[in-house]
Amino acid sequence: MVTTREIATAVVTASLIFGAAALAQAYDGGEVKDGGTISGTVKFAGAPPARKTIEVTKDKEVCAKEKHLSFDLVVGPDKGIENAVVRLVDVKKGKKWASTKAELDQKGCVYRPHVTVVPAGGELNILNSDGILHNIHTYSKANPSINKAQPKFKKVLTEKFSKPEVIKVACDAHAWMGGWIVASEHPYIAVTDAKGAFSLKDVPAGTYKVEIWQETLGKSEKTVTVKAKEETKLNVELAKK
Amino acid sequence: MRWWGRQRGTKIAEEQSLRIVFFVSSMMFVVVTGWAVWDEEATRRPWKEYQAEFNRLEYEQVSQELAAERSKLDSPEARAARAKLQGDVQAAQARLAGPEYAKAQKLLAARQAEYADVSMRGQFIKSELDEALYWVEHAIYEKKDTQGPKARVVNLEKQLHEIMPKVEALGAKEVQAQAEVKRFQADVEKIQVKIGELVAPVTALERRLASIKGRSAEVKQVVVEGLAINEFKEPILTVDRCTTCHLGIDRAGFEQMKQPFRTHPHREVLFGKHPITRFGCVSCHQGQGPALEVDSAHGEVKHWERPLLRGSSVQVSCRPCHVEEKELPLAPVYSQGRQMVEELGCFGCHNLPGFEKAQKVGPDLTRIASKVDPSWLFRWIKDPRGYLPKTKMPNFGLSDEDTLNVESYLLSASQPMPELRGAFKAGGSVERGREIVNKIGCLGCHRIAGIEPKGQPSEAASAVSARNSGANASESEKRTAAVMVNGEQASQPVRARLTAPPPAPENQDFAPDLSKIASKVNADWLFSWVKNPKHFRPTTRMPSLRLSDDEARAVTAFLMTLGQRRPIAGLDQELKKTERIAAGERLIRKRGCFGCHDIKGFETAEKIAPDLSNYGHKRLLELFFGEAVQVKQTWEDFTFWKLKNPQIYATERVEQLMPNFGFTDEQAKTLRVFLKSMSTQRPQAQFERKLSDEELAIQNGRGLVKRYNCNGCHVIEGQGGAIAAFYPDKTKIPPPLEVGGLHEGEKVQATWLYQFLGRPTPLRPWLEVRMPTFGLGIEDATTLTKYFAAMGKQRVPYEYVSLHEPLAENLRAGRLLMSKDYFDCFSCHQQGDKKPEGPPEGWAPDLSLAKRRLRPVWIAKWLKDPQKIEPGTKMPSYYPGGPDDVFGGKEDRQIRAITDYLMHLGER
Ligand SMILES: [Cu+2]
Repeated sequence: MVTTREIATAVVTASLIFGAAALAQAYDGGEVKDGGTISGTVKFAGAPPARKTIEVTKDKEVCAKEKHLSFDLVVGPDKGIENAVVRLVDVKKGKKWASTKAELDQKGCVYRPHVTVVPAGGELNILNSDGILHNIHTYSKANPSINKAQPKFKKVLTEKFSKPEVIKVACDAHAWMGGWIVASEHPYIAVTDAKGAFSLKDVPAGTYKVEIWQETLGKSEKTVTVKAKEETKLNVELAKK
Repeated sequence: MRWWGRQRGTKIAEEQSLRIVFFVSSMMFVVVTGWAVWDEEATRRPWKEYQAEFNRLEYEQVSQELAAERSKLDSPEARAARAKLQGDVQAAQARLAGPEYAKAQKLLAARQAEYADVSMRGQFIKSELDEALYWVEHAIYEKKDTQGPKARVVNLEKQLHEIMPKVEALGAKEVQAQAEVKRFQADVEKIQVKIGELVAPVTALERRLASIKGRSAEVKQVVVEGLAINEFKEPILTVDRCTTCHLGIDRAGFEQMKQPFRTHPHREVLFGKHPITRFGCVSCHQGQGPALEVDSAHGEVKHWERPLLRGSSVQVSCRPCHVEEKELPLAPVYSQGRQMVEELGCFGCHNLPGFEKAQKVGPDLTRIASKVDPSWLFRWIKDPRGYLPKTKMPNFGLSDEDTLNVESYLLSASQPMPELRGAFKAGGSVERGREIVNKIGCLGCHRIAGIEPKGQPSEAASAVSARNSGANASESEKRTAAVMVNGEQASQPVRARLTAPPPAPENQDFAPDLSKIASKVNADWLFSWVKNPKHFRPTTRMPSLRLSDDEARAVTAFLMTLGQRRPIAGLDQELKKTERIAAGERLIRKRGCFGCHDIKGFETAEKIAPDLSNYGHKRLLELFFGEAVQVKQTWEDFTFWKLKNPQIYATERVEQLMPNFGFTDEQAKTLRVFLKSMSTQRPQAQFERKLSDEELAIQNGRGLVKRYNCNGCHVIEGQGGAIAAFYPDKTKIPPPLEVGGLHEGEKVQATWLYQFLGRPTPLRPWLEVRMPTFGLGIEDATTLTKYFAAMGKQRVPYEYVSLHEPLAENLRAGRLLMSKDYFDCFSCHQQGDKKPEGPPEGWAPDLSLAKRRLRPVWIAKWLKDPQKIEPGTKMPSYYPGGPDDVFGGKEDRQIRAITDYLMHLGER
């Protein structure tokens, strides 16, 4: 179970990460010609811990269809870390957000995806595929915290997060349910896949600070220089603090 | 001389010329008169200079404001606005001079003429009708033929009927035409008023400047009636001329001015309730009201007995009228001093008005022998702070010999312990005991070294109040706290609470620190004490946590690992000596230990120390300075040093019996303010401030909240709840009761609360911390119930009465809405014996209790927006967003249905 303290720490860290971004000038989105790509992997340094099995104590007929493993740190076979967030920090200008929407599903009493990226100010459609009562309880600072019930009959709940922030989301009906909503001003943000891989495309040439964040490992920062039409590799290792 | 003699010698008196004498003396006379006038005008009237200076300063200030206003008026926007209005005026005026207005006027004239014409005709017909009627009557009287006149009447009545509607219609038309004409004029006037409003600030300031210039110097005085009392206890008239120099005292805008011109702090509140014309100045500040020279007006001259009360000491003046009130937000030092007296128990030895019914503040010593280790007791009596640095127990400065004597009496007079059901046997689990002490709530009041807060300092508690900071309560409290610390006066709402916020866990000294408890108490005693404190001492504040024998054993086992005994060799033999017992009894009688403690043999002993009910008026010759030449000969210095170190006044022949409380300078000064207020003088009845029932409920309730330290666990009035720091999991902390929009008294039914306070039953099974059983009597439980009701703006008694049967369709809909297919409330909420799935941490309160526990109005409010009432609550919002297929999605009807269903849950 995620304790208050962990949530608080995570929220504080998250707000520190994005505090700077919030202060900066608004992002200017437009056409990008001859952009470069940043791609690479985020890997775990050291022996990866095994995922804990979570005991489903409630609504078993819906929630216990699959075996539940904890999502706080998912390390793949090649030590690739899944669900790490990689983003540019000080980008002022670049491509437009391709979409203005995102989707988050509650299925089998798990947030899918575990980390959802949503354009700041865009709509997040929260689905309830389970057909049982969940509630969306967010812990945030820049955006107002919400705690809304999503009973069976409420198939979709639409929410907006106007400020960029990393927001913890939890369900009070199912203590094990935990996920993250990342509201970002610009589209240069990626969540790593099962192999720990990510790529940020159409980045205007220049030097950037790249931030890598994972809920239990915290954040680290790298500087990357992107050249036009070229691919820049960025491989990062995160370790337990 | 010779010349004078010669003159006299040569002429007779009548012939002698006195011209020179006259001239000289009249010149002297003129000079003296001139000097007298100059002296009177220039040196004897220093207030004139103050007035002149004030006028100058005010003139400067107003000029600055005027300049600011003018520049505002000169800003492009203001100019544009004015230009537009001017344009409008001109347009309107043009219209007034234009053909349309002329037309309207012409129309009006025509209408007036028409109306006048028709209405005159109507009048004539009426007159003729009167005449005709007369002729009818006349004919009847003269017995003539009435036919002719009657026909005329009928004819005239017909004419009148025809003409009256015309008159009315034309009248209405005339009014309309008049309105039309007026509209043209009103247009101009309206715009002119607007222009006037725009420049009003400037003209007001200009007028103020002119009035300042026109001021002439004058003595200002207030005549106060009935507040002061003469030697014969009769109300008298007094004159205050303070405002002659304190010119800005009752005017806003001079807060930053230098003295004597500054605005009175908290002017609006203080003068709002105490108008200067009724109360004057001297009644609170003292000094010499009619005097017009600085030192004598302030009474800081010889032989004036009531000099100006400077600084916080002016707060003593609140007491005579506000004697009923314990906390005066605008007299924080006085209030804190009063609270110190209450906590320290000064009334145990001194007679202090207002504390006649107060309980002794120290523990009961009638069973001390079974409670404590004799070696510990010896060290404790000799130096209490050596064991507990924050204890209230003062140091009596006893010699070893005297200490032994006192102890031997206490032990010999001690009674046996009451019979216990299950005595303590060793073998309780220390680990389990530690766990229980950690979780069950001991840390709400006690501090134990080694058990430290787990979160950031009271993170959860501050989170609660921070989230509620929308309500100004917490802000004002912070400010109040700042006032307490600095002793300065800052602006603050008057209803705000005064007492400093409860201490953080590390400073918790409400109850004794248990870090070294094993060096003090016996295990048997401890076991029976934690199991049922009231059994041991009915008046104790320590509640029962309803520990089972096993739990109590474990807790005892754990607590007995804290600290080491340090036996004093040969102590037992010494203590048994009978001469010591007798000497101890004498010493206890002399030093008055029974003022704070119950001691066998001293049940009827009288207070040993002087009566302080008129201490504030003690004259210097009544105060015994002894040989303390270093202390200045004033009431203030005497009292300060008496509090700091009573022994300073001891001489070879005069003992000082008062113990040393180890006050800091700040504490001594605070207490001194309270002592200064001790007076037997009472104002006339009409000046006494009586508390309303509601205010009394709040005051008494706060007293109990403090007495039982409810704040140790619960956030009440935005304060407290520090125990939360020991629970990293926010769902495990005791519920807040009174913060922001959350009011326990608005939430629960008074009857339920009353019963719960008397005999708490667990409501939240997921909490490891227990609501203790305080064993509250009827009076205390009623007081607390009334307090919470008053804070929640509810009336007591309150009973839920459903005036009419709820509609069956409401009950059906309520049940449907709460079912699994809709809101699925019982996914988390308990329902009597039906418990939700999953571990108790995820549960929510029992809804079958709602009908006895909750107020229906609150249920509806809660359902509408739980986050607004208790930000951060686990309860999610269901609205807006109710299902469309129940009552057509109408929110209010659905909420009503759920409320009705909850208030009948279990009935069908
Ligand atoms: Cu859920």
